[in-house]
Amino acid sequence: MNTAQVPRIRPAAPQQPARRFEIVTPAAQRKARPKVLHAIVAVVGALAIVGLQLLISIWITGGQYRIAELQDEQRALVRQAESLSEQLEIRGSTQYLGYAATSLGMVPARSLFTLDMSTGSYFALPGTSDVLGCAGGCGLAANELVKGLPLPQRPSAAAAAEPAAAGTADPGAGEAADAAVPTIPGAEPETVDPDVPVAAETLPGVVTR
Amino acid sequence: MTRPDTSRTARRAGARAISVLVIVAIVVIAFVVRLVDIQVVSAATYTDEAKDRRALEATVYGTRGDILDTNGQVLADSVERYDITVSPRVALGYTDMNGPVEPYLAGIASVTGQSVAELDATLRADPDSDYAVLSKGLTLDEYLAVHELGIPWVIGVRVPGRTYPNGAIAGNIVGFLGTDEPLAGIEQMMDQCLAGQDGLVSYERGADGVRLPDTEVVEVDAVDGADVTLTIDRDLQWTVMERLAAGVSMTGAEWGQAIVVRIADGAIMSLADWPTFDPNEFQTATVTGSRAFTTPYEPGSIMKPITFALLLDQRAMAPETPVDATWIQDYGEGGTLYDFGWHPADLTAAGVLAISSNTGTANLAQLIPDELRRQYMLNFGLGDVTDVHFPGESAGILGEYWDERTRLNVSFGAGIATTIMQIAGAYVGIGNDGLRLPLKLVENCTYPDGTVVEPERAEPIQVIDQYAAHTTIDLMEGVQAYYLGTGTDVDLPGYRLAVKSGTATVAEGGVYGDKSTVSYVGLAPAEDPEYIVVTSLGLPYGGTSDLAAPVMRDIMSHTLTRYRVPPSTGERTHYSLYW
Repeated sequence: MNTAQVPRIRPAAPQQPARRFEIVTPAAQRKARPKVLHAIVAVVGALAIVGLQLLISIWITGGQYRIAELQDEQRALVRQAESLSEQLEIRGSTQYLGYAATSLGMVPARSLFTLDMSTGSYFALPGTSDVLGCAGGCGLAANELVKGLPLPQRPSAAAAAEPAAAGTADPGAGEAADAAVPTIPGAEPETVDPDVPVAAETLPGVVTR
Repeated sequence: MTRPDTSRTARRAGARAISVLVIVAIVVIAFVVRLVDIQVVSAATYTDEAKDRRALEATVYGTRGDILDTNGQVLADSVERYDITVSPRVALGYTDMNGPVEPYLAGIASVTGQSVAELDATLRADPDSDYAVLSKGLTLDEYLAVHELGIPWVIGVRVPGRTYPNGAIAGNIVGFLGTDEPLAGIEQMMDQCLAGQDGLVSYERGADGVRLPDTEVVEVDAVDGADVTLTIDRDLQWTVMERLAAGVSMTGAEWGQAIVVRIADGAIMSLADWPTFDPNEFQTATVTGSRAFTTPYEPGSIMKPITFALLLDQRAMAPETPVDATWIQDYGEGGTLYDFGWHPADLTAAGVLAISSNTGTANLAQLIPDELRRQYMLNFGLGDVTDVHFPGESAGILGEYWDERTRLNVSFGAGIATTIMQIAGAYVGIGNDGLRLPLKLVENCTYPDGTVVEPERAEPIQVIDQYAAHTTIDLMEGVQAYYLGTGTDVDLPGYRLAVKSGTATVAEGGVYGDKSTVSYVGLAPAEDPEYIVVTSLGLPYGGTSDLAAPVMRDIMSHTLTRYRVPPSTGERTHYSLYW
């Protein structure tokens, strides 16, 4: 300490409490003091990390919701596919094919022929499943599921000349005569058109139990 | 200036510090105690409470396996159906704000086909309840139609359903599912293979009702059931059923049965019962089963070739062995036997079979001991259920001890009862060089992981030797030739056909009445039989077996052409019918 700087004459007034001691910090110690800048950097850094984490979390959560949404959509589409394949199976049933073939003007074979290539001769085997002559429309082997399904029409018959006669396989089904598209008799017409694809978005979340 | 009292200040500071410390300590201890209480002591309670508030559990249905025909056509299919549920308390309470429920119910009724009154009654049955089912088993399209009505108080619940795309075609075989369990047919017989196991998942739901991502926990895995593949060919089954139904209709029969069996492996390719039922509508069906398996009857003369086969195997007779076949014969304690009408008495064994003489057959049968005959019949599969083990299957009746009358009767198919399946099974032995393969209806059980399990089958039995088998077929070809001479419809151009007819009067209440059962069996091509067709008609009057002949012939004709069996070669062996 430089003694020249110590005042030799104390002024008379004002009276102040005498400083009894003074903390004197060496330069090294001053240097070692924490700097405000560091504190700011640390705090800002910590805040940035927290903020970033929050953002990433929000982003990931958003992604998770998107995944959940897509999974729901996938479930809805799977359900729709199952429903359509169920309808396809019904339309592939022997009864529906029989009615449809009849509607298109086909008739069951009356006889089965075998051709002998070695002699050029042929013979007819007996037997038709349609011994009653109702051309696939007897409905002997019933199928509740095909009732009311629309039938394909013969192009020539489509011109409304005899829509019912050409279209309905059962002659007793007179009420089908009014219908523009012939259907298989025996049930109410369909209320929902299965040919219209169902948009996945319209499928509601179904409660499972 | 006065100097501060340093010691007092220090004491105050110390006291402050201590009180702060004490307060902090108290707070920390309070927190620790609470923490331990929450985390350890009451942890389970809080976890459960939290779970109840946030987590929901849902059943994941294990899909029941399909039933397929031999070509993979679906005969029974698992589908998703929807129940429309409602909280009557909420629905009826809601009307205060939105008016009456009737218009809404009318909307639902227009989709489901129910009446508004019916729905209204369901809704008002218990107005304070929180759960009622308005409509069950809606298809996806129907459910979506209900959903689009925008009724806020209905909830769709997904439930598993079962559908039978081919209706009545194989209803008698496939059976159906009741509300809780399978009740008939393959559904019941193969339930262990078909049934899936339901699983359980839990997930958490936010305040807005949205399922929280990544919260789904599979508590129990759902296991899908396996598919059952049958030996039945759907298209042949349809043809057989339509032909049988026509036959029943044309003859005025009360019932009919027709089956097609592939001899090479005993596979039942078609099995038709008439009347039958549509498993989609089993609730309204009057018949739900397969008489072919469950109802035995006296087979009649269709039994004679079996008697001949065992006699030939014992070399007790030859095709042209002379037989005393007087059309009426007295057997003392065995009573008097009659044939259907007068015929020359000097028949050979071949003639006895062609003319279907009861007396001739009874006389031949006595050439070997009764016990030996009975053992042959057991080996042919009579008196026991077939290897199919169909639900409710009958073993028929093959008495243990035969009295004087029965020992004569069984030789021509009276005094015993068999199912048509047993008869077909026995003819597999005759058609397959004497080696009787057990009948099979189930091809395999295919699990979702691709594992294929074939059901265990009984060992084949060499019932008779090749000579006896071939000679029996030869004799049955002779039967066809003879019948053709009488104008019966058993002509199958291009193919050699071995046949036998059977007519039996039906006993009701122990007394033979007016009803009769007429049957026909055919094996073709006779030089190396590939298929067996058996048909039976239950007539309310005393008809002849000629009525069943064209049904059998047409079915055989379809079977041979469907499976591309080449036309027959060679000539039949001619045996003299008279001596």
